Amino acid sequence: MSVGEEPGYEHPDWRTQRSGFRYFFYDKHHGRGGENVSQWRPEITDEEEFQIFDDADRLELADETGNLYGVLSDDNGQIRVIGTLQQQVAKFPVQRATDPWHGYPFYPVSADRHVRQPPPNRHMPREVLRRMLDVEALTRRQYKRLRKGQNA
Amino acid sequence: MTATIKLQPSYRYPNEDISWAGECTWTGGICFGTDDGNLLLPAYDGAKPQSWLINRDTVNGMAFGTQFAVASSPTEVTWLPRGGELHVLYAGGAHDVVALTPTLFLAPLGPHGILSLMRDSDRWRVGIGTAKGEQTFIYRLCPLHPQTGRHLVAGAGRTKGLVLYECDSLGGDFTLSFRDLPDYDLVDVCHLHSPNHPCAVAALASDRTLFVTPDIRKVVPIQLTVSDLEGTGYTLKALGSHLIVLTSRALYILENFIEKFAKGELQAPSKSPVYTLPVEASEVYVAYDEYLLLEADDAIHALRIKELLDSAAQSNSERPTVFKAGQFAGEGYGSTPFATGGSTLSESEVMPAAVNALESPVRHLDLATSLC
Repeated sequence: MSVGEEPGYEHPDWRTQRSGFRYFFYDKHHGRGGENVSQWRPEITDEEEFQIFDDADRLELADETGNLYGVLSDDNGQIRVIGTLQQQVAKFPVQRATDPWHGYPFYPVSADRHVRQPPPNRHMPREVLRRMLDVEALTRRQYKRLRKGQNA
Repeated sequence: MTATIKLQPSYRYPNEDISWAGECTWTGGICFGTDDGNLLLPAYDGAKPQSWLINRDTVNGMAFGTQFAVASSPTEVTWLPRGGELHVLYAGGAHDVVALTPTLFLAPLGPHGILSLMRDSDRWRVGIGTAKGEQTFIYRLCPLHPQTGRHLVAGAGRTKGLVLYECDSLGGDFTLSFRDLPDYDLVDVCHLHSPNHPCAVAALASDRTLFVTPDIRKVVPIQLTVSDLEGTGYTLKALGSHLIVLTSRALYILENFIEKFAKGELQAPSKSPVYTLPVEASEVYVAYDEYLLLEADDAIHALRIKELLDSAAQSNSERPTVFKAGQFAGEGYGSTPFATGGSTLSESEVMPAAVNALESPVRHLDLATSLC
């Protein structure tokens, strides 16, 4: 199954608890994209990837345009690395109501000058990190490190 | 640099969230970067605290020229003439910025390479070096002593292990090399300032593994595992003869680590105390070869290393830990030149891996009684 020209698959039964969003797993973000395409680490399962998305929707970890962001914690409260460039925050670009969502590891890779938006439209929206802190998805220390682009 | 300054025990600013701390060339004291992008100078010599906007995002690194400062953030690298307004040098994010000289600066750009900034008269020469064909993530940089007129800079790579950057005195003719450390996510690197080993460095991985080499140019590092370290590795600093490790769980002081390293004692079993300060700090900085600047939730705590160790010596809360050293399997240096080319590195002189276990007393310190 694919969306448009991009191969991948959508799990037939998985919907987010709050909004009922569908989710599509793009091959290009799972080891079959180019070197400039963000990649999930192989050990992150589809269930875990969807869990990040579900939590992001449930906790409303959204920027002002509706993009969602999420993290995956381990049993000790440490933020797991989810991307091949050691990313710890995933981004889920906002979709039309009829389309499935998808996501990819996003941050704390520093902003690329070619694709970033200039301040105050920050690469990783500060209000989203703040929201993660407020809903206790992050500790204060993790928040302080991530906002600086450091590993948490 | 020998410290003659006396820092306050703590620095708090109700309306500012400090995100960086370090030495200030302008004042001879310390200064701060903030979440709102400000450069903050504490009160000094009777002067009131001062603040300037130096970046439009959270400051994560700062370095000083004589009459200006350079600041990095996740979205841009900027400079600020003293008393002037900020200017953007690079419209993308960096993880830090370091000074090689008062006019030459480098900033690690993560997967986008290394940013070189040269102040030349009244202009800036800006360049970016990348490793062609390699997926790299350059996270931290640490200048070493210049060798034969060339600058040497060690780096922590989150995907390609140790990084070695060389350039001439003007920042040109540079070379970027990697010593691949498969499966290790290096999050910091520091110069060991060992008189007999001018190119000695240590690096820290996020899993708390330490790597040490007496010469980053030629010698394969040995791997050290300190069993009592806990949490996610954040930061590695050298302070005097001691090695400082910050993790998500605590601050650790590996007492006289550098001295033992210089004597070759890390190659054989020996005792080495590790002091633990169980704090939740998001970063640690060093200042004037004497102070640790601990970034806590709501303040910067200035801790004098001598007083910390004196306090530790009086502590009764000791328990044993183990240093496990050795068993490193790394490839020799590969040389990946920048587009402008440069000399390549010679083949590695491989130092035999050491396997040893060091019994080390660990003392736990209490922050409240350790603040100087």
